Amino acid sequence: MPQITPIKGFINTPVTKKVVIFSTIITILVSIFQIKYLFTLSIDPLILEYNQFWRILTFQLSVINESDYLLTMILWFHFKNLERFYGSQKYLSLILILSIYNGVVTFLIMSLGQLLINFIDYFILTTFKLNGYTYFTTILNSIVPGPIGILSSLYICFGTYIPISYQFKILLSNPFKNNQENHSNSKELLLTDHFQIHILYTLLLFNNGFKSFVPSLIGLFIGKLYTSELLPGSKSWLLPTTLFKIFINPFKILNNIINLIRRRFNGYQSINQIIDDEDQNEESNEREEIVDDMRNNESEIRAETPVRPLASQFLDTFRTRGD
Amino acid sequence: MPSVDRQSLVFFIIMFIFLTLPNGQDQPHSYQERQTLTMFQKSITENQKALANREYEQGYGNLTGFLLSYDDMKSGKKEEDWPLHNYKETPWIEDEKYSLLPNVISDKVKSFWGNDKVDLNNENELGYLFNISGRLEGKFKKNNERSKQIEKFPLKLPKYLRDYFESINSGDGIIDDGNNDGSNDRKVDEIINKVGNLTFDEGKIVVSIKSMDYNYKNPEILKHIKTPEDKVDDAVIVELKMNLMDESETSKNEISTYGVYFQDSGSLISITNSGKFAGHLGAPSLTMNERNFGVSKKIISQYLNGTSLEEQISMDDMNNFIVQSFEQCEFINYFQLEKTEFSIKELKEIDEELVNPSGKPISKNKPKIKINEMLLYSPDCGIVIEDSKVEGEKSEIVTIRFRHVFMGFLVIIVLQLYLFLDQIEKSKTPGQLSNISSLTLYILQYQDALIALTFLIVSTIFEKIYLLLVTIAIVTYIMCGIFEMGFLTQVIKTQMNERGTSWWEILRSSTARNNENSESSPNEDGTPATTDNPATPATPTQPTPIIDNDDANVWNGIFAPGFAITIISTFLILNSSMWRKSYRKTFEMVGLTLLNSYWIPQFFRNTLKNRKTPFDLKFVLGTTILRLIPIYYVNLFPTPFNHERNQNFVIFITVYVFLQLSLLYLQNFNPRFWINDKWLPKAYNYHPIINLNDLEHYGSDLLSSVNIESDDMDETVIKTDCAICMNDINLPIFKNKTKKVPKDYMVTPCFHIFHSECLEDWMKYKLQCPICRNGLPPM
Repeated sequence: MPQITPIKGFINTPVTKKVVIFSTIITILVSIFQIKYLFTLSIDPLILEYNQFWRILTFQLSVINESDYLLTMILWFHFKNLERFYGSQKYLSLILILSIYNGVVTFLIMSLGQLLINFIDYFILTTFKLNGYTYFTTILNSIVPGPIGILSSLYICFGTYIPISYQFKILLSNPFKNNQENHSNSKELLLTDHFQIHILYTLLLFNNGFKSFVPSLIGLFIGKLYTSELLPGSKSWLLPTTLFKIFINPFKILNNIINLIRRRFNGYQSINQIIDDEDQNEESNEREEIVDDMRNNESEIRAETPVRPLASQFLDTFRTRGD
Repeated sequence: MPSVDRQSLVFFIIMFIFLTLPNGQDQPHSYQERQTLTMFQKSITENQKALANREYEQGYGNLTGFLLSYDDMKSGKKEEDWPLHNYKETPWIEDEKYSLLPNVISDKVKSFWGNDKVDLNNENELGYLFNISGRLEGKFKKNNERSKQIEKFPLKLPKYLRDYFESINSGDGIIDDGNNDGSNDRKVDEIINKVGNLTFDEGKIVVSIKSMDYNYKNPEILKHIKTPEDKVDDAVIVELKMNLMDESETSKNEISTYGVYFQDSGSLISITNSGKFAGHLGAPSLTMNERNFGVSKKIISQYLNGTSLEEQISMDDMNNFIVQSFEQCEFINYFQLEKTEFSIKELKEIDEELVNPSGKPISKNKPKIKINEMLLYSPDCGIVIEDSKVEGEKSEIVTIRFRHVFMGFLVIIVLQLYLFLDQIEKSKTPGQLSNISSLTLYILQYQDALIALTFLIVSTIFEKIYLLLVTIAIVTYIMCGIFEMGFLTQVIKTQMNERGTSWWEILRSSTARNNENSESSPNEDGTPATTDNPATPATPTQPTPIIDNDDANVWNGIFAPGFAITIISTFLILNSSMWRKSYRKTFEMVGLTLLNSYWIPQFFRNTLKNRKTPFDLKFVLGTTILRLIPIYYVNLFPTPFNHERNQNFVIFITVYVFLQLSLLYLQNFNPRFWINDKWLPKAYNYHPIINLNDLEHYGSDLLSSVNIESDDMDETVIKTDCAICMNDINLPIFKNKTKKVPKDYMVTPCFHIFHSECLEDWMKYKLQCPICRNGLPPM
């Protein structure tokens, strides 16, 4: 099988692997148990009438149709480059942050946008002294569930941080015909190794019409904010290591706990083993802390570099310092 | 290969059954049949047309079974004289003078049926249920007093159908050729074993109702609705099946009826239909008032026009009609539902949310279908049942409960799958595999195969939770058909080669062994086989060489009979749900007890092998508990399965299973704790004392290296090679018998010598002699 990404399989990308597995399991269970309705989000009537605010949290957990599933899975698979770029723990933290921002902002834009459209309608009707205003639901009322916003933000990150490894041209005219003349640029297509991601993302963008368009645009906006370091908290926040480990390997943690309980009841054990275990844990913790410190230092050093264009000088006043 | 043949044979048999099932419809064969069928079709369509134009005052019209009124019947008038009344001068009213119903019945119906109407447009008023699909249960009692007040109303087949019926029956020789009309009639009337002709006074009634949607939402009927007036939004057609049975469920009377449910008054009328009683067409006139008549006439004629078309009425339909009219009592049923505690708006919301869930918050306690009063009246059998109450859950709620139960079941299956995978991972060496009882695995696998097949079959019936049921079937199939099957194949393959103690030998050894022993020992005294292994003097030689022991053969050998047995027993189990209560209960208890005996074979296997249980504690406990949970659930809790609760059986099965577990636990200390050592043949001794006399068995190499110089000594040491590590083995040879037991070498039954360590390591992987490939008895 040809390798479609530079990284083979899920090597050293545990977060991507777990995300793909969990999304698949959730999607299958949602379908089998027929509980798709728990993952939809619409302002009216779900939020307005029934006050089901928990949907802001759940709607990004599962997609509810097959084509969405396919596209999101392939995109997650491609974005494992980002996990290599950030490191697993940072990547998981980023996904969480983006999901929170996307959930909240999407909800705000949907509800406020709908209100605004209604208000404009009311305003027009009253200024022209027309009667017959009734509240109506707009295209902002409901969106398609799934991690579309997160993927949009990651798409921006991908474009910003993952370098292009090669380019290639597709000539649309016969190259041997007019050999002497220069090739006009309009007759060739310049593509990079990112082109498949662009295609897949565009498909996802239009897959559910306006219902996927709204969360995608919001996701793109948040991604842009993040890459220009304008998203509060996003640069510095890291998921606690224990939570990260639980996410990466829930069974190992479970086994450890069971072993711990068994040790308590089973009486004696070899001392060396315990000490080794604990040592390893502490060491790895320390090592991670050191790495984090180094990363922070680096970012500070980078911030102090003198060459700054005017635009970034303006933006820097809004930027949050990671500390 | 025979096993493959058997497998394909099973498939061929099944294919054959499917192919030879009669498909399509019976075609008319003779002129008479064709003529009767045309007449039958014509009469049905004509009656349907007549219904559409009928008015309430005109009475029933020319309908089979409705020609005479109750009064006419009592005064002995004849059907041939129809019409007897002229409704133009005196309009038809609900009275025994004109009506089929005696006044005793109609007065009673009028007293409770459809009197409390609600305004469906007023959304805040408390209303009756809209969708009444569901299964209701209750007790009934025959009202014999009232049935004494009324006379039986003999209903007859129309002439042309009767002629046709006689002609086919005389051809079959069922009725004597010499019979004339009169005797035939008598014969027909004399059938007492009619369905619905209740011989018991009280019992259980189960009513299952399938409510159709409004006529303008039904695609088949939609094309018959031309004007807005044709739409009916306060009444629906219902299909109602009722089953009247006595307490022991020995006699079951299942009667299927059609009818109309009036949503504004919560009243339901349903009626049977057969060759002698055109109930569906007559029903509108039995609805007590003109308004109901109008509504029910509209939807019934629309429904009949939409569903029973002239060309679709086949010979089968006609024959069924005729047979039904002989075998079944006709029933006219009136049911009155209880008003719910919900407003009309809430009821509509609940119905909508149950069918298409959107997350709308609806009240936790959903309305039940409660039938407050009912009257079942059979004119031809003269049976009246009244004042009974039945109630049950709506079918959507039952579906939701089923879904929850099966979700839990899926979790159990997945856990069991995990336990199995874990166990398979842990037992890979032949040593462990040879200790596992294949019968235990057979039983577990049989249980799982039953589950897989049952769910697969049920999924085709239960389309609302089809996906969930199929998932369970598939996961179970993966567990039993792939993993357990592979595991069992491994176990059987390992044990194929084995020669050791068998049940037969244990049984035999208690009596015959001693004799054999006393005969054989003097002859073969001194050989290593007999000094320590007296029970099996001949068998330590070779197990019969097994030529094809590859996976596929073993697999086929399990699969083909297993598959056949599973299919047969699945159908037996599905069929058993229709048996009478006592049979059903006994079958269930015996079956479950047998199915839950899966640790017993393992217990014997442990005894046989003198080993403790090869299964993990986690697997043993987990499997036992997981397989008990469904039994507990079904027997102790209110389930949607309509299963009787049975605490005693739960206690019994718990004790039974945990007894097995405790036996397995005791074997951790001594696998043969329950058996006297003397009964058993001893295991092969790998550490025999080698005497000089035995050396001839070991081949010439060894014999040549004997040092004769040390003749005078009691003990000589010979060096030989271990074929595994290629190092020397020191073999002490004794001239006389000693008690000293050497432990550093092992001798196989085929007289090859190895280091103890080397051979033990090897035996973890294969129970075969590394040199000559003969089978080795396990240690």
